[in-house]
Amino acid sequence: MELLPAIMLIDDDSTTNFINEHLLQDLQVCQEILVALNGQRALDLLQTRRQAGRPAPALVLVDINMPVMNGFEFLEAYMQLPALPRQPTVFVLLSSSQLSEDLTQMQHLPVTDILDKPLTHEKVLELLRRYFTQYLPPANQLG
Amino acid sequence: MAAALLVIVGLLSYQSSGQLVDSQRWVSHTQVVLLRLENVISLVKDAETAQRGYLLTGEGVFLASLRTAQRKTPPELRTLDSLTADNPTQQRRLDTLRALVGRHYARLDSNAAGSRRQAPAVASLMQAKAQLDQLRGLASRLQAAEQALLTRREAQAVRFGRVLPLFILGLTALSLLIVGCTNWRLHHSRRAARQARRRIVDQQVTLQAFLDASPDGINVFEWEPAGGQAGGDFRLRLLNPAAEKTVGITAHDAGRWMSELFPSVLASGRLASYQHVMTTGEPLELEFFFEPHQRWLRVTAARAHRFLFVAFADVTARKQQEQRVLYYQQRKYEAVFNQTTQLVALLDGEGRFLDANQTALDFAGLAAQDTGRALRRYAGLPPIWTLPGVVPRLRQAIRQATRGHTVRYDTLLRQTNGQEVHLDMSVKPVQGENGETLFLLAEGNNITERKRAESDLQASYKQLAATTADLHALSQTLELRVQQRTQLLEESRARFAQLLEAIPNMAWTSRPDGVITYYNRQWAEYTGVSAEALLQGGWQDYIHPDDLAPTEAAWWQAIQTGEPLAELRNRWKEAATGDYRWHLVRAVPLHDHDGAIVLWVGSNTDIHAQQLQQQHLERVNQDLDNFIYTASHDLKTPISNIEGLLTMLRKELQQAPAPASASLVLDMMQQSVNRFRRTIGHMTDIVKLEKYYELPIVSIDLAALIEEVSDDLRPQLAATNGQLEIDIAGKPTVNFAQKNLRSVVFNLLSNALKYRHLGRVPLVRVRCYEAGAYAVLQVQDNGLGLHLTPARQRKLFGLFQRLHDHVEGSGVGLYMVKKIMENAGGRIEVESQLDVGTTFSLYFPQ
Repeated sequence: MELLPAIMLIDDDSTTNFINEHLLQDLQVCQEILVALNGQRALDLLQTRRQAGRPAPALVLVDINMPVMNGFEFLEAYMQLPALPRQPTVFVLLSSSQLSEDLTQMQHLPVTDILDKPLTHEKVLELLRRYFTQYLPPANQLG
Repeated sequence: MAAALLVIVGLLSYQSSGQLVDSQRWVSHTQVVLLRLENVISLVKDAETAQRGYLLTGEGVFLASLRTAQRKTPPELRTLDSLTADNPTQQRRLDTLRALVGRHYARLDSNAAGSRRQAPAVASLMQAKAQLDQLRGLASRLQAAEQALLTRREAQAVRFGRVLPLFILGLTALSLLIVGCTNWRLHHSRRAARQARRRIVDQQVTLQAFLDASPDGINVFEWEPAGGQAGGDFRLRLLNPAAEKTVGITAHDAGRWMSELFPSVLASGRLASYQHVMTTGEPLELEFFFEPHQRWLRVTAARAHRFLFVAFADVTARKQQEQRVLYYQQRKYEAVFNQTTQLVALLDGEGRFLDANQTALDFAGLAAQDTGRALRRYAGLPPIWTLPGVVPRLRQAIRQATRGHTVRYDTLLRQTNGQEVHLDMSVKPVQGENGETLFLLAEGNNITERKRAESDLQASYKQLAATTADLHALSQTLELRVQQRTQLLEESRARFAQLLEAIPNMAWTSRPDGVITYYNRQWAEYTGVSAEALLQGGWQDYIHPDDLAPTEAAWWQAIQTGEPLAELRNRWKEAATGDYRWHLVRAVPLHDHDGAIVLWVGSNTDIHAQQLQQQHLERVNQDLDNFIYTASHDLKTPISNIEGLLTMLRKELQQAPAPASASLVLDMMQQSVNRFRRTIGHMTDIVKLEKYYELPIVSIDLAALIEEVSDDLRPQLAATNGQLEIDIAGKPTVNFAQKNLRSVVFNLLSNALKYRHLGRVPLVRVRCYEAGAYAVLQVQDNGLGLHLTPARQRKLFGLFQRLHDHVEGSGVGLYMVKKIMENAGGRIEVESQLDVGTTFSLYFPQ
């Protein structure tokens, strides 16, 4: 089975990151899991990897409310990065508020999907089913 | 004897002189014939000479002369023909002469047509010579004959002239004077005859040319006193081309009678007129309509000897124009005369009506044929004339007018229909060139209407004067009453002011247009400024600047609509502390009997403490909302994390052996997490409720909405066998926010099923009806029911309050329903009976 090259988790709550990282490892869907505590750190990490010639993450799960640089600001900044022959990245917002007016802010941003927190096995698999069919883990791991 | 002799002599003289004149005429006639003959001969000679010249030289000039001579010859021959019409012998000779001339000209033509170089045959020339000789012979015979005639006629004339004096001399031996006279007369005649002979020759020639050239038609008739008609008739002798055209006769008609050519001369009397011209010598000029050609002709007739010269000119165009003008003028005159509303009559000095226009005739009851009758003879005619004084007054006016005065007077007449009529009469003389009175012009203007209007006006004026007097009296009465009322009003006002002074609030009054007329004592105390200064300076200086514009707007709105001012809150500066304090301003309009506003009465109540408290409460409320929002949001992440950690722990424990109780503890922890999560969900709902405060109000189909909600509740309905009874015919639609109505109905229906009575199948009745300004939605169940005390009722709708613990509940549902209803200006009521059921009534403002 082929694995996604990398998935990035961006959340200011390290416990959440710990749980989500554990969840992804458990599913065995990617070679590498990148974790950043806010948007700014995520940007720095992405640029460092780019300079090192490391592959960009195929999926980025980003929280909305974060100090320093929140989810929306991160997406804004990401769009400003110099255009590279990067492979398509799927951006998924993780929301805890469900308030629709928050979402009106992202009309112009490259958001692929929005998920309610918390992240679960089912939600991750649904994402893979929708956007990364070839990376689906074997059926026996879905339990 | 001498007289008789004288008469005989006279008669003889007259007759002989007539014969002499006749002879003289014939002499001159012969002279003309001779002259014309000479002309013909000389033309033939001219032609001959021209031919010769042409043959010798070949010059075109000669040929032209030949043609001229040839052209001129036929008219001369025609003239000769007509001149000798009375002489058959000469006519025959003329025919021969014409033939010879024709043949000679033909010969000349053929000679000239041959080549000039090629000399004509001698025979041809000889023939021409012979012809010319023949011509000359014939011409001289003609001349000889005419000469003989001339000689004979002259001799005749001379004989008469010679014999007659001798004869008369013999007879008038008794009176030498008479003889002498006769002799002298004869002598004179002879000399005149000789002169005439010469003149006539000239005149005859010019006459014909003149006649031919004249544009007027000219006929020359010979007078025959003994002709076919009474008084004589005329024979046509000469006419010109214009006459042929104008009256349609030709040269062939020469010699015919006038009465035969123009029969109309008899009936029209023109024949008699011409006879008159002949007998008197007075020339005649007249115009008549010539029937055969439908033309107007102007005729001038004059006598010359025995001849009547008649000249015609076509004047049809002028005549028609004149007739048109005449007709038009006649119409104009008639129109003015007959159709004017004025009565007009012409009278002569005797009072006879010469003429009267139609208006006058109609008015006086007269017929047109009555004009011409004398004034005094109108007595006994229509009643108009019978009123006393009418006729005498008119007669007097006529007398004065005849003396040159213009008379004008008013008169009262009674018309044929019995109506009395006022006339403004005037009679004035119309004078001729020498100042003599020709006739009188009487005019009458009907001024009955004007008179009536004048008298009406007078009556109105009197009435007006009377009314004015009444009015004056009335106004005095009113003034008195007003004074009394004013006094009463002043007293009432004073009482009112006392009242306003007594109340603790700041009070004021205003005119309907918003101008403040009074401030009470409390104003002066509060603002530190006297009421007079406030009235002058205005309240605007003492209100908080931020509140000025809204207050003015609300006040203006109240003045415009007349609606009382009820809920106006604003800040006013207190002089004692320098602080702005909140006031509630109220104003009500006072109306008079007709409903018009006469006065506004207003009061400012100090609500500063309440206002501050309310603002404080609002702030606290807002903080609470914010707190709930933040709490619900911020608690979500840790609870999620706990849940995730629990899952991880569960997996860890599965891999390693663990005490049996671990699984139980994990399950209880999971339950706690679930409860925590649900609570957070409800808190989020309440926060949302606040945010949905301003949803749009729409008209909602209640049946569809209930159907939707019962779809969502299908599991519960199925599990409980619950029944819904719906009766919304009284009010099928409700105006509300869609989302909120759905939420409210869902809550009530699900509660009705949740708190069912275990001993019976749940039956839920939903009714909707109108009650005043509200739509009332009732949800009645047959469930557990409650014993409701006021305290329990408060608890029922309280947040997180639960009255039953046997069923799962959050204590949020009814709180939300109440909040939704109250936010929208409605309310919720509840009735309940333990073990019977509960009825919720929702009041929606419509």
